[in-house]
Amino acid sequence: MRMFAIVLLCSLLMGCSEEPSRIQDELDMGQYTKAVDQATRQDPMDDAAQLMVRLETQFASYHFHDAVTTARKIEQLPLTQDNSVRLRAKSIQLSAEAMIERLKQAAGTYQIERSILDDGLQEQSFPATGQVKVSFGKPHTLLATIQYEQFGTTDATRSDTETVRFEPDLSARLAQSEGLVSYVFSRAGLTVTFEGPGGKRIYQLKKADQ
Amino acid sequence: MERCSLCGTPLETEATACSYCKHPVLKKQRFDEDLPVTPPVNPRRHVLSFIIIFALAVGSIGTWYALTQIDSARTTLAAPVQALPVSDWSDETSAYNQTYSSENPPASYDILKFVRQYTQTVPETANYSKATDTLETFSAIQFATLDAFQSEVGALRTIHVASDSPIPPRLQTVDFKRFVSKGDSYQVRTIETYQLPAGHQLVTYDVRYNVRLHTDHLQITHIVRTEVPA
Repeated sequence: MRMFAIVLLCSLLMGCSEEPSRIQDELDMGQYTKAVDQATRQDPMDDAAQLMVRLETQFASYHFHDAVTTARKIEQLPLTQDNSVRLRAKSIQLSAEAMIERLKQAAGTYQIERSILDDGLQEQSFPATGQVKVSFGKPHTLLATIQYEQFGTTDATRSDTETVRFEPDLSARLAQSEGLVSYVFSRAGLTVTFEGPGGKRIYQLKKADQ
Repeated sequence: MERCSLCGTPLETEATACSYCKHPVLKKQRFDEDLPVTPPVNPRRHVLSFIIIFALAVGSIGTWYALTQIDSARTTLAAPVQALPVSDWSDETSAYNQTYSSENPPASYDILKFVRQYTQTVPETANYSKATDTLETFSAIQFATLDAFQSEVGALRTIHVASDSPIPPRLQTVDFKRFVSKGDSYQVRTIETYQLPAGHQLVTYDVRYNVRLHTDHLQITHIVRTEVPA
């Protein structure tokens, strides 16, 4: 009887004294590489710290599909609902999924709706023609291929392909020999602006299949 | 003093019946003789009861703690996790003028953002000419030490040769490959691709950065850039 009671007590105490993680402070402050550096393999949060480093490098590389996969792995770890690692991973997952969705909506064929020449003094529309096809890459989710088809002013069209690195706000600015080209996706469509010595040529494009 | 329960006559101390009505004294307490004899105390029983009480206390504290945990989980669920604002993780805000302290150390994503924003200065660094340019006007100086900048100028020769074209080379991709902390410094390895204006040719580099916290801001102290053959 006495032995039984002692064994019962010991098992109760073992259940209560789950080994706390030494690296929780680093994890709470988002210092995941420092956490990995300080953790031993026995630390209960070592796996979480390593996966967070992987998740952040994928997210910083704009590999959104890979980031979602890693975030799901973190979700499966035995972490409490309010654990800072779980919350951060979930936020990154939601951000990556939102970007994938936005890029899906942005990809497609665009046709010119309006074309405006702004020479600094006045704005006037000019005749323009053609369309552009936009697709986004994988794993480089923000690297777009922009295919021009008979695009531009009616007397000088271009038909070529450009690879453009977009920023997460879905805009891009590319320096040219004299001026620059900017691309901005918005809810309304795509605006392509060619800025040069003669002023700005602004093309407002609308998705063809909408 | 005790009295007879029938007639109320005062009783003598040792009396077994009332001196007046002869009513027997039934429930007269005789404390000095009637004290119960306590059985010998068993020390094992003491230990056992202590263990049981202790176990119960630990158990109830554990249950209470578990219940508070469930409660806090519920409050978290009440405020659902949201996606991060794009400005938090993109390059909208510049990383080179962020300051840190021991209370506000750089998070690991801050280091990645810092290196990613540095790569945007690389096309400009490739055009640096010792003869004609002032060092201070180059953005890379905001991120890296003078030694690191000069090693970059030497390592970016391929881009520099191609950048005779009026169109500057463009950053295309930055892939973070390895990211570790060693004490106070950070090591980041990237694979970077730049597009040259001439015929859309691509140049890929394998780059190793050493980043450290210099007083209150981040600084790249060492860069090893190796061109990866296509």
